[in-house]
Amino acid sequence: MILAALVNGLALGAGYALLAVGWTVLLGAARLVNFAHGQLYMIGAFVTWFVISRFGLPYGIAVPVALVVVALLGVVLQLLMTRMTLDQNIVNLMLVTLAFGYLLQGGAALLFGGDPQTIDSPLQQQDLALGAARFTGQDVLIVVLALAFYALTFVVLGRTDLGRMVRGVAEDPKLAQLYGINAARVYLAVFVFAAVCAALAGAVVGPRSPILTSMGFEEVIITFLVVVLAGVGNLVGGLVVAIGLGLFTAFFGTFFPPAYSTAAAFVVLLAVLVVRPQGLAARR
Amino acid sequence: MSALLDVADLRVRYGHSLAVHGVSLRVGGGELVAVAGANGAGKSTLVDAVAGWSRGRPTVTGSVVLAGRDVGRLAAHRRAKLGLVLVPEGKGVFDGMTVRENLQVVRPPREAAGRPYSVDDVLDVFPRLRERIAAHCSTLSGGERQMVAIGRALRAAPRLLILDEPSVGLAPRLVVEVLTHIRDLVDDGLSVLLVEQNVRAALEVADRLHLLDQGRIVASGTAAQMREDTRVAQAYLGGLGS
Repeated sequence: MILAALVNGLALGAGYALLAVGWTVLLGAARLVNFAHGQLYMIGAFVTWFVISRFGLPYGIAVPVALVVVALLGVVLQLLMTRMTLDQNIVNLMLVTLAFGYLLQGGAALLFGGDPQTIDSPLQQQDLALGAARFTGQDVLIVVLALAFYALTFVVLGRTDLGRMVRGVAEDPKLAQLYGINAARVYLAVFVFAAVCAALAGAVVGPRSPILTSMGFEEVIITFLVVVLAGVGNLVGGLVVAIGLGLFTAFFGTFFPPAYSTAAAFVVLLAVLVVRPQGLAARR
Repeated sequence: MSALLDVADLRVRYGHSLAVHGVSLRVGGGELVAVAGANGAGKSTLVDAVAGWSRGRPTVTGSVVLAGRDVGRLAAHRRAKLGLVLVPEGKGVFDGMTVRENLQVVRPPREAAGRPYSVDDVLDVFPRLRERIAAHCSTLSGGERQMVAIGRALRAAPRLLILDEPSVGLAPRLVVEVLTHIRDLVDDGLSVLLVEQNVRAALEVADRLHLLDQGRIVASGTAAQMREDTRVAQAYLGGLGS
């Protein structure tokens, strides 16, 4: 039972991590918010399901299609918000993205229906074992992708011209423009990257359990919690906290009614923020 | 001399308030032109409008022509790519980055209009930054921050560098050091439009100077002419013949 909770917690945590990496870059590096992040996760899952069930295409094709669709949605949303983004008007961004999230949810319910659906991934049928621990190929995919995306993001933000541009634009978008940096384009790139991460999380976590068009809000709040617990912008901390939260949720669900696990996670958040307002993994 | 920068009848309005009243000025190739005036004269508003940059949302009319091309309707980042680079007053560096990252964040445009400076070239211009290369900009002195800001502007390969009050907040010794560096850059062929409240310091390095008062140019001339101008001497140089 403990081993099962451990494996489940790792996969769950890696899924949170994949969803949180976009949030971390948005909030920490670009100082943007997107409360439609959870609905982009939901759309990622549903487009994957739709491509498989409607067109009979394999999972390996459906996932890239979902990423492209959500990237385009990200482009549209960001283009609508360009001025707010350049002014770093966080309150308006919150409201607009929240509204966009509800629009996406309504549109998805209209398009995909209100019934729970299952994404047919061959990796979910692939049972693997390591000693006494049992898991699926899908679990491995989630963990590998989460680690790969964190490593990629860490290197891009810290070591590349693009990463320096993102950090410069985040600190002062107007100043960055004076040196030839197109701040609107940098914001667009960051926003689309975060949207693609959310879609990827939806497409790879989705096969583990039935998906609903009403999902997304809880996921975005949980991953927001991850970002805050880690200390905003702390990538390594984000990964550690996401995995930790996944393990906490899985173990909590093993010993207590799982319905209370989100509430329990928020109790942990409150406790951490009271003791360490700068976040769990922040240096100061 | 054909002008590299030709600003004609520039007006900047914030709502109903006119901050710059039809200013015209030119900067030639390899020339250092200073715009001086008291606090609130409209100097920063003027050069911000020339660079297409503003913290607010002013209405700007008039023309800004760079090397024969009208850039007046272009966004700030497009003007920067064409070689019109502004170092704004006070906040010219990214505090969250090291000196090296501040210099690396700017890449010369593919078709650089001016001389493209590598990070090493910038460190040759400002040797003091070499020993501070790994330091976070939030830990730098005012003079060092100004050097980073100018150095980063050089990385953008400017044809015309606009410097807004580079001496503000600096100790007198550092003012001389920074302005000497700027003059050296001009002697190497760069064109500079320098905004200075410190008229005496501006006259030390400028080829020509415009005096701005309440958004209007009230006196113009070569540095030598302006030193002899009684209005300038009385108002800014502490008496006649200073």
